[in-house]
This record gives sequence, C-alpha cells and structure tokens, in this order.
Amino acid sequence: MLGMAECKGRSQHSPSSSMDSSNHPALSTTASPCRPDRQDLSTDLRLGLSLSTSPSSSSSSLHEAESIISNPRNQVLFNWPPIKPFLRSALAASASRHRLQRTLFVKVYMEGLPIGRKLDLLLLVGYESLLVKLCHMFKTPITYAAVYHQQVPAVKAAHILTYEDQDGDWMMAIPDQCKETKDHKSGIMLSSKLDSCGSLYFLFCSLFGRLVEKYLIESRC
Amino acid sequence: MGRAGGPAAPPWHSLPDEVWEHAFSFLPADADRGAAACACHGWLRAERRSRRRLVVPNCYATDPRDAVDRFPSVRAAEVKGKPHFADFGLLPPSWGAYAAPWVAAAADGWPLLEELSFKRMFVTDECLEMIASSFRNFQVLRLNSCEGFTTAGLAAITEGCRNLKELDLQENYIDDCSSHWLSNFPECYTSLEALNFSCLHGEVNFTVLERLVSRCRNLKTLKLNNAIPLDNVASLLRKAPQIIELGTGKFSADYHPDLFAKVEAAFAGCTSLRRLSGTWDAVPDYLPAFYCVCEGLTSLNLSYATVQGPELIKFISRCKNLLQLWVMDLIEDHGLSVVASSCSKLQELRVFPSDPFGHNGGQVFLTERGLVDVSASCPKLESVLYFCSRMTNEALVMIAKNRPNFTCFRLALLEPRSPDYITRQPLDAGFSAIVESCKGLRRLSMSGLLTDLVFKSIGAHADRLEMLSLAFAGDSDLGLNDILSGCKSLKKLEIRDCPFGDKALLANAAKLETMRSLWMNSCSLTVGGCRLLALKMPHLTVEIINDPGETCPVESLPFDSPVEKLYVYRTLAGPRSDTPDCVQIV
Repeated sequence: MLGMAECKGRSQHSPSSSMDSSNHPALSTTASPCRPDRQDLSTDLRLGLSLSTSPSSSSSSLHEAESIISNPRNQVLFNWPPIKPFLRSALAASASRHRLQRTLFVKVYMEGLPIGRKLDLLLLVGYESLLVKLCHMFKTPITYAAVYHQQVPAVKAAHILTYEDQDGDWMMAIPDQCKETKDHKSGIMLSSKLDSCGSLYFLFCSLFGRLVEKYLIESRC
Repeated sequence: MGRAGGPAAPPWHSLPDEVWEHAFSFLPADADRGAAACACHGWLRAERRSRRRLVVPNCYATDPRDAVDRFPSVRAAEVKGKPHFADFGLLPPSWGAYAAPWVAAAADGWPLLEELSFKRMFVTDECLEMIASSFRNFQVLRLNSCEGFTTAGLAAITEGCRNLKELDLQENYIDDCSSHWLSNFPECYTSLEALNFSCLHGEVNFTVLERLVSRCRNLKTLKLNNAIPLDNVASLLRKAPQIIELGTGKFSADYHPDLFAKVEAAFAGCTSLRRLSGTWDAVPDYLPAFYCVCEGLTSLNLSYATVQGPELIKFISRCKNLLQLWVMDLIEDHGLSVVASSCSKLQELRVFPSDPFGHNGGQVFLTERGLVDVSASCPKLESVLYFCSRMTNEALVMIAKNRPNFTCFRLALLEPRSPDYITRQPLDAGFSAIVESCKGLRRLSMSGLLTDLVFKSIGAHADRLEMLSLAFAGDSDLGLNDILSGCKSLKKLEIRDCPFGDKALLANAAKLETMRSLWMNSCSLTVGGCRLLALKMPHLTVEIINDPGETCPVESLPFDSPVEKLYVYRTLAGPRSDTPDCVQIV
C-alpha cells in the first residue's frame, strides 16, 4: 500500500527487512508453509487475505468478506456504489490529505493463520484502543502480562501483549514502560505471547522506527 | 345535480368559489387538491385558482406556460429536472432540464411569486438575473444539485431581491468568478433567515459575512463553506446565538487550548441549536467543544466527517434527542450499537462509505450488525440508507421483524451481486421479509445477489411502494413483469444493469402511464422494443440516451440494436424540443 511503501522509504532502519522468520521461536514452530514473504509487504497485504482455518466460522467469513473488500473493486464498474459526486470528491480530498500524513502500518499475524491483518497505529489513541481494535479483529481477548496474571481465574485463554524491539527480542508490553519508549527509535509494541493453555499467537511487526502520538505534525511523504 | 322534475340542486352547489377556495386551503396534500379538482368543473375552477404551492416533479411533464396558466395564484413553486440516477453520473451532462423556460413563464404569469426551488436543473446566470428583477416580493430561492450558474448570478440575487429571506444552495456546481455576491446585500438589508453556501468553493469576505450575520437578527440557518476556518466559525456564532441550524465550515485545526475554549464558549451560547452539519476533517480533540449542544440536537450530519474513534462515539452518544443521523461507516458496528442505546428517538439513519472503492484495504468494521442493533433499539426508526460490505438474510429478516414501520429502506452493498455472506444464498428471503413486514414502505433500494423470486414478493406485497431502485438484480423479464404488474402505487422505477428486456415493458405499457418515470440503463432493451413502446403509448416520452459523441440516428438502426439508456416519462406536453444530439425521442 502506498502509505507503507512511502513510510518505508523514510525510515532509517527498515525493520521489516530485518525481520527474519527463522529467528523467531514461535514462528519456527508454526505450520505455515505459505507464510508471506516479509520483504514485499505491500504485495502480501493486497493478496493476503483469503479463507483460512480459524476457530469460528464467522471469523473466516469475515476474512473472506475482507478479501473482497481489500482488492480495489469496481474498476470496470461504472459508478457503483451509488455515491454523489460531492461525497466522492470529499473522500478523494481526504484520502490525498491522509497520504500526505504519516502512517504507521503494522501487520498482525495469528499463529496458525498464515494470513495477517494490517493496521494503521496512528489511527488509534493509545494502548487501550489498540487492544480494543485487536480484540475486534481477531475476536479473542487480549491483555497485558501484569493484568493477565492478576485475572487468571476469569480469563482462561487471554493473549498477552508483547512487542518486538529493534534487536528482535520479544518483550512483554507494560503500558507505562511502553509509553516511555515513544521517543525511542524502536518503540512499538505488538504482540501477544503464547500462554500456557492457549494456542493463539499474535505477531505485530514494527515496520517503522517511532511510535508517535496520533496528532502528528503533517508532513509530506 | 338537479334533474328535471326531481329535487332542487343542493344549496352547496351555488356557494361562491371563494368558499370552496377557503375549504381547499385546508387540504394539505397536493394529491388531495388534485382529486378535488376532478370532482366537477366548479371545484376544478376553485381549486386551480386558489393553489398557492405547486410542485412539478418532472419539468418535462408539462409546458411551463400551461402550468402557470392553470394555476395563476401560485406563490411557491418547486420544479425538478433530471432523473435521480443523474446524481451518480449516469446521465450525459447536456441532457437538458433547463430552468430558463420555467423562469420566463413564471416571470410572465406569477408576478407575486415568493418562492422558487429547482432540483437537478440547469440554471443560468440569466435565470437568476430574471428572478431578481421579475418578482417584487421574492423571498426564497432554493437550488439543489443544479449547475450552470456562477457567483455572478448569485450577485444579481443578493442585490436585487430586497425581501430575500432564504438563499439555500445545496450541492450545486457553481463557478466562482470572484464576484462579491455576499457584499451585494445592501447595508440596510436585515431580513435574511437562512443562508446556505456550503457548496461554494471560493473564499467569501469574512468581514462582510460577519456584518451580515450581526444585523440579521432573524437568521436561523447558516451553512458555511469549507473556506471558513474554525476560528471564524466561533466568531460568527457569537454574533448569532439564536441559530437553529448550523453547517460548519472547515472544521479542522491543530489543537490549541485557546481555540478550543473559544469554540466551546461560542457553542455554549447557542441554546437554540438543533441541526448540525459540515465538512469535518474534524480533529477529535475539538468534539468536546460541542458537548453543550448535544442534548438539544435533533439532526446531525457527519456524512463528510472522516473523524472516527472513541471521541466520535462519545460525542454522538450524548445526542440523546437525535431524530436524524447521517454518518460515515467509520462509526463501525460498535459505534452504531452505542447509537442504538443512546438515541432512542432516532427516525432516520444514513451511513455512507468512507472507502467505497476498496482502496484502503477495508479496515472499516461496519457490517450488518450495526443495522440490526439500531433497528432493534430505535422504535421510531423509519428511514434508512446503509452502505456496507456484507449482509445476511437472517439479519434482514430480523430487521424486518423489529421495524415494520420502515417507510424508506435503502441498502447498498459495496460489491455488486454480493450474496448472503454466510449461506452464500441470494438475498431474496431478506428483502422479501422487508416488503412483507413493512406495509408502509414507500421507498426501497436493493442490492446484493437477487433473483426473480424477490420481485414476486415485491410485486405482491409492496402496495405502498412509490420508488424502487434496482441494480445488478434479477434473472429475466419475469422479474420486471412482476414489478410492473404489481406495486400498485409505483411512481418511479430506476434500474441499472439488470437482465430485463422489452417484453416486460411492452406487456405492461399501460402501467408506465400511471407512473411518473422509468429509467433503465445497461439492461437488455432494444431499439425496436422502445419504438413499439412509443407507438403504443402516445402520452409517454420514450428517450433513448447514448453516450455523448454517439449520435447515430435511431431510425437507421436495426430493430434489435441494444439500447444503453432509456428514460420514459408521462407528459402532457408532447416530445421536448431541447434534446442534445445524444438523446433521441422515439
């Protein structure tokens, strides 16, 4: 996607290229021969979504529906869906404004599912909304390590948020600490770790250096 | 009627016309007045002479001079031109719907005209100049989805109409020739009550606007354009705290506590504010500035607002008295469930697509769930326009069961021919449930995978349906036949990309005369079929519309040449004479 490619160019670290599936302990155990090639993320995400095995049928249907949506449709269809020109131009203007803004696209993978989901972190407001968004995307509870250990009886298959830092190490996310890393080049969270009884694994890969608050100064890509 | 040797005619027969005119003034609907006019010559005379308000839904249904002659006392006229699908670019730009003949006829025959509204028509600066100079008590001008004029024409209006109360410019294409139309309001002019220039792209002189707003103490509606920054909006509001309807200008700014405080204070003064709209690239930080007016809002139009997230939802949830909500699908299912629980008085919901063409990879989470929630919890909900990516029959059945009081149901699935995403079945069962349950349904737009079966239900059950829009639906002429042979109240039918041919049209030709209009594009019609239809029904105008540039005369085409676009409407005036080359009347 355009945002990712542009931001990729601007980042000094290009962490996406430094990610190597063989380094990752969890990844190396997953049976996913069709894991997308991380070097070419834009292509991945375009074609990536398709039917996959998942715990519930509704979630796989969601993925299927998303695959319809994620391909730019209607290039041959004339004027469908039926929106008025004023709305059309307002959306185009808004889209071009967003292209000028920074975006922070990250990919989330669920272990067992070769297909990832894409998310623009800059559209979110803090860690809470990230959790909410992830829960919504994957239809599963996600929480922080500290919280999980406190609520073990209530939540039997929660997924703990962890992140990968620029050294490629997986760290547990603790919101206060993570906030401090916002100035850190490697910032960013992501992740949920295997818990003892669960079987889901989230990977959230940082593509760009900085985690920033959502109100960035607009800058041209 | 008195008969020879029979009892004398009842005394009411000799009542003077003025009495009837007074009686008819209590009939609210034009249809009732029209029915009364059919009763006898006396009533016809009384009714037509006392008609004050005239609506002409198809400008080509009659000659303007005939309309003016028939109703000489009209004070308010509304004329509509192009068919609805013109909104989506399906009509060539030069098609017609010229306002000039109507303005000329009105100038001649209605010197006391006070209100004029045009929708989807071609209005020129000359028209506006004529309006400004022909009606000494002109008060209200409404132009909706029109084109052909510039700010110079507006300048004529603001200068010439001394009693102007309302200037409402909604979604028009106006060429900005930098004329100072706003400055043309005289300094002594104070009667403005409603001003909407949201569709204008250019700058307006803010000082002039501010002075105008200050001196017009009856100003109730103010809808600004994108060129007015937030700071100035706040200043204007302080000058017009009596405002009832506000369209903000460019509601986006970097967060600044001083500006926030100014905006908040300005809105705090607007205790009468009920309707809010605008082009909001709204920064969520500013939404709390509106909290003080939320309770009073009855209408909220965020259809141009790309704001999303928790602030949006928090804001809407405080608007407990909302009757009308227009919003982007960025609100998502979660947001709609909050709307469902907060806005119990909701009557109308419209949800627009933020990513209609799928360019952004589909991050929005608006599904059928949102509509199910709102229909379950909002007992007064009767009008829906919903763009989303997926639907199920089960959801539609549930919606139909929850809300039998729908009068308008429009569902636009972003991908044509989308089936029920769980069962992969057509959505026939779902839409059938809607028409069977919602006995008062007047307007229906369908999309998704639909077979001829659904049209059977619609034909049989949709007795009150007046307007039906179809796209990518049906299997054969049987579908169209079921619609045209049923649907007793059908007035407007618009169809695109359906496999309907001539047979159903010809078999139901008489039905078309009971309807206002029929539009079909990208179906299976032929030139021969259209010619036959025109021959059969002399009171219909049958227009074959080609792409501009394709002007092959219809007479020379073989019988089975395909017709790309067809527009059929009933008319008293015979075929129009202002067609461009790409339109041929058979």
